[in-house]
Amino acid sequence: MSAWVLSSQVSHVSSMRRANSPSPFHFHFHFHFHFHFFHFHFHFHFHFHSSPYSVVGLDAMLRDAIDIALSAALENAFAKESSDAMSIILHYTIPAPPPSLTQVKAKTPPPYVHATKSSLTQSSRPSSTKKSERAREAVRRQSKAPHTLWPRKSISASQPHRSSALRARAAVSTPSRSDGSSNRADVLQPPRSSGSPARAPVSTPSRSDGPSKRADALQPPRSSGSPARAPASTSSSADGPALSATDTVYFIYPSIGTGGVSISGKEMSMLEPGRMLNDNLIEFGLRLWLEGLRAEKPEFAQSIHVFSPFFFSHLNSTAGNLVARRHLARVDVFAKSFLIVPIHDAQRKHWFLAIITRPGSILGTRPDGCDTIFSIHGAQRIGWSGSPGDVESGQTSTMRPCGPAAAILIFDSLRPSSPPAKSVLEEAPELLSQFLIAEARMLHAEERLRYPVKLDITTPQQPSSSVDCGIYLLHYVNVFMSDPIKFLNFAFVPNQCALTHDDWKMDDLPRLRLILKTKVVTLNADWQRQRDA
Amino acid sequence: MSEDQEDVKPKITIVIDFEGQHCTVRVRPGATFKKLFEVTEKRFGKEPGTFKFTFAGKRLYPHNTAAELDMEDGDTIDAHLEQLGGGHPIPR
Repeated sequence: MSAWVLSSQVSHVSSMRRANSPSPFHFHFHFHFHFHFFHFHFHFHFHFHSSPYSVVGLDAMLRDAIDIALSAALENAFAKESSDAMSIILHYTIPAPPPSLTQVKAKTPPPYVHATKSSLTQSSRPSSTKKSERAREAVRRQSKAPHTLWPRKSISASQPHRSSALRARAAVSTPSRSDGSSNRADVLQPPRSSGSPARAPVSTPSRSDGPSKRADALQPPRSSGSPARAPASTSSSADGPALSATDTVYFIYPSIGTGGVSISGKEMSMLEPGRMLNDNLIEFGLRLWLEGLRAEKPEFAQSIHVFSPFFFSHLNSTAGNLVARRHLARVDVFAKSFLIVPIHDAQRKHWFLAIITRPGSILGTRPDGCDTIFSIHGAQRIGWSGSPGDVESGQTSTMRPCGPAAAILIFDSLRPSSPPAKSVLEEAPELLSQFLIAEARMLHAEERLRYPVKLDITTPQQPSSSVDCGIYLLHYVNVFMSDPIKFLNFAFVPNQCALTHDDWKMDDLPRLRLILKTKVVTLNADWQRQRDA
Repeated sequence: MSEDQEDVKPKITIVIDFEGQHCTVRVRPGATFKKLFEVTEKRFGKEPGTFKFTFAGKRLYPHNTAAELDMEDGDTIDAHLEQLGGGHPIPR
């Protein structure tokens, strides 16, 4: 499939104009283009509504938004060969994003990592050449990423003249000399692959007639490393968190308070198919999920604690629990019903997941039903106590005196037939168990402790060529937590294979990268808006 | 900026823990972590931007300050390397 898409070309941009604006801060873009590949002929019509600064600041975001829209559309077209389906998807994706002209040219590869690097270049450090060299190397590597649905490179390669012509035309067609024009100039500035000094004149003249420093400073990703940029960035107000000197961050999530997780261009590029996920994305995905749950079922969300991806690595180290404790500051794990622990296995370069249910029951003295979730759902249903008939009766009296034990459930999308000795996978349940016991001793001076049960969950496995374990992890959390009792029911019954493809909602999994990307785009837009306000 | 006012406060000692190795840095509670991060990375011989820092499980950024996070004298910041996972089979 990707081979087909590779042959695609943006064949025509039929119109791109700036409509009369209701206010100096709002204007519309009409944005048409036709798109050919194979025997399909697509015609997209985007309509954007945006303020001038967000045009600049979110330029790169749009590129990705369209990217998402297109890949979604293409996927759909393949799946259903129906143009209706396509337009639905497009409709769904468009509201978030800002416009850009560069998307059509699609000349630059996406990694905003360079922006970081090239901002160093501008400060003319001695190491700058090395840095940018490395950045370029990163581009090269990136562009070789195998599964990219939307091959920016190949498009630009096949249409170099057209795209520069477009650039010229678009610049001419901007009659207004308001600050919009300087923004436009930035948008139009050739992307970094052409960051040679020769290009600079293209953008400099128009900047001179309406320089808006603010807009320049806001443009997150594409400082392109051309000399023309330098004056703008030195004057940039690097006061905000989004553009600190060493980091080109799209946003920090959640934006309120401290301790959010930062998402930058680097993370965005990791959401491309075929790329591994880093700790930021795992944390982001989990937090996003928890926030969604909080909006839906606040009480349930309250009973869940999500650990940082770094937490488990401390358990693995010598200083162990002491350091891990620091991660927990002020969280009483025993008051929660579910603990979600993403686990990084450095040896396998792999993410897998542990979910600890009912940690409170480790404390032998804690009365039953103290955690609401299990009593709400009716713990008997889990099969830990009583007979199946009890489900209907709703009586809790049939439960064993101390209630169900805590359980450490392991979800691994690449489960080896037998975990090698001393591997993280083998040791994880034991380490977690030790941690909980130590925690109980320390916090509650508890004597009578009940050790947690350890259980491997039979999960759908990722194909051997896939690098989606991070995606699987997020998916497991989402699916398991959507009906934990059901899954636990299966988990405790010897025959786990009763869980089907549908139980695991495996059809949703391929879409997860796309959903996360879309989320990144919208959150970045929100972030920019907040900063501008 | 508020930083200027808080700069009169005495410096506090922050311990940075990277996989069991420690280094201590004295900082003003109102100063941003930018310097602290740079110094730490230098001491551990890492490229700038290598580490991810957490305090009490929360991620820290160069624009944060010790005061903002209610840090006290002797508190520990953890430094981590990036974790990347795609699920390659166990290497032979």
